[in-house]
Amino acid sequence: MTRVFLLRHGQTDWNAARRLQGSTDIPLNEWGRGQARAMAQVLAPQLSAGARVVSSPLSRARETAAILAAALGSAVTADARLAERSFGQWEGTTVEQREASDPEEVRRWHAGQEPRIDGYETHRLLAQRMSAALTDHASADAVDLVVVSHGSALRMALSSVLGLDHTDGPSRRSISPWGNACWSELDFAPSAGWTLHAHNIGVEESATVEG
Amino acid sequence: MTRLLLWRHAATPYNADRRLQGSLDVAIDDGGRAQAAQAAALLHRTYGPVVVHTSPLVRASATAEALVLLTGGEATVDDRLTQRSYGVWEGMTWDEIREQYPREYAQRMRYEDPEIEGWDRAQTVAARVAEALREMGSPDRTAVAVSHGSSISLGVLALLELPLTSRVFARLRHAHWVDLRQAADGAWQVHGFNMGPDWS
Repeated sequence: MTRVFLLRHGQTDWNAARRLQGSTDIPLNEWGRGQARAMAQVLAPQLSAGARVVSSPLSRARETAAILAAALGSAVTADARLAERSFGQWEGTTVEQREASDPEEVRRWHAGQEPRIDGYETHRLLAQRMSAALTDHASADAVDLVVVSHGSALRMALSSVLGLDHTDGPSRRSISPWGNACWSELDFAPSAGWTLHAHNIGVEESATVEG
Repeated sequence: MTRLLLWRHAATPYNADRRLQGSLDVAIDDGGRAQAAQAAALLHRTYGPVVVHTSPLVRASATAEALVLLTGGEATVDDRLTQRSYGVWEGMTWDEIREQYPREYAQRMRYEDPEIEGWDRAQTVAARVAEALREMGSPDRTAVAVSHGSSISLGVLALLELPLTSRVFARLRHAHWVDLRQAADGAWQVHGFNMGPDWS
């Protein structure tokens, strides 16, 4: 049985401005680095020696992963399958901008359907690559595993491995998004599948570390 | 937005022994009271003013007490939040059950309802807990339901419209909670699971 931690990257300027990032490579801001350090202080001691850290190649995830890995004395392995969902022409936009320019597609998106916009990556494709990555890494070793990724990708991954919501047709979204630098904990065993032990655990705001 | 926290009571000596309580009204000890206080402080800091409802069993109401000490007011007792009855298994440890009721133990390990006297079926427990939760949910103030492991698990599965034999959610730790939010379309979402002081 493997313990698997799903960790979302720390804050970026676009997170703070509520601009959709998707595949756009926006780095952590100073607040986000502080969040990652605070997270590492709490999470690292819970992990076993030799815990593995695997990350999306996007810099906001890679840097969050590196901060945790430094606290563990581990290295980070990059896996392109863990990157955020591509949102195509919506990348860089806010909710208000999308509601103004594509009201029908925004309505579809909120109803759990797929918006019909250029460059958008579907639920099915995202779920496939994320669950393949999770299962590959979780199956490879019984040592604790930390997977560092992104809001939409992690939500689709969790939904998929727990069998919660559909990836075809309207998606019910039973799991809500992670906060920045927050994590979930699961158990994985090839015979029993996946079990959720904790979701959206984060450090109290006041504990964010400076410096 | 409607927010509902399902808070599992603090540990009792029976829990430490892996002894089934069910409808038995076992009290929490000093360790449990300290655990409840620590969790209540974190919950209060995180959510601010809340309305507190509790199972009538003393291990739950004593846990609720730790929170109302901080929030003021009183906890409302709701019988629908009580623990499922384990019938003739109450007071036994899981080891004893496996030895004396091997067939029914195997049923239980498959998350089925074992055929023993006095056992509360999953369907029944889920329905009453979900009814209580739906009633207490309000967009005006976060509601906290202090309850028990099985009752909470079944209530969550019912609200998420998942099969009651689903094993995707692990049991809550003692004095930890599930944070459920209701989306605009009425669907419930797990905003947080097993939140509490163990992670700080």
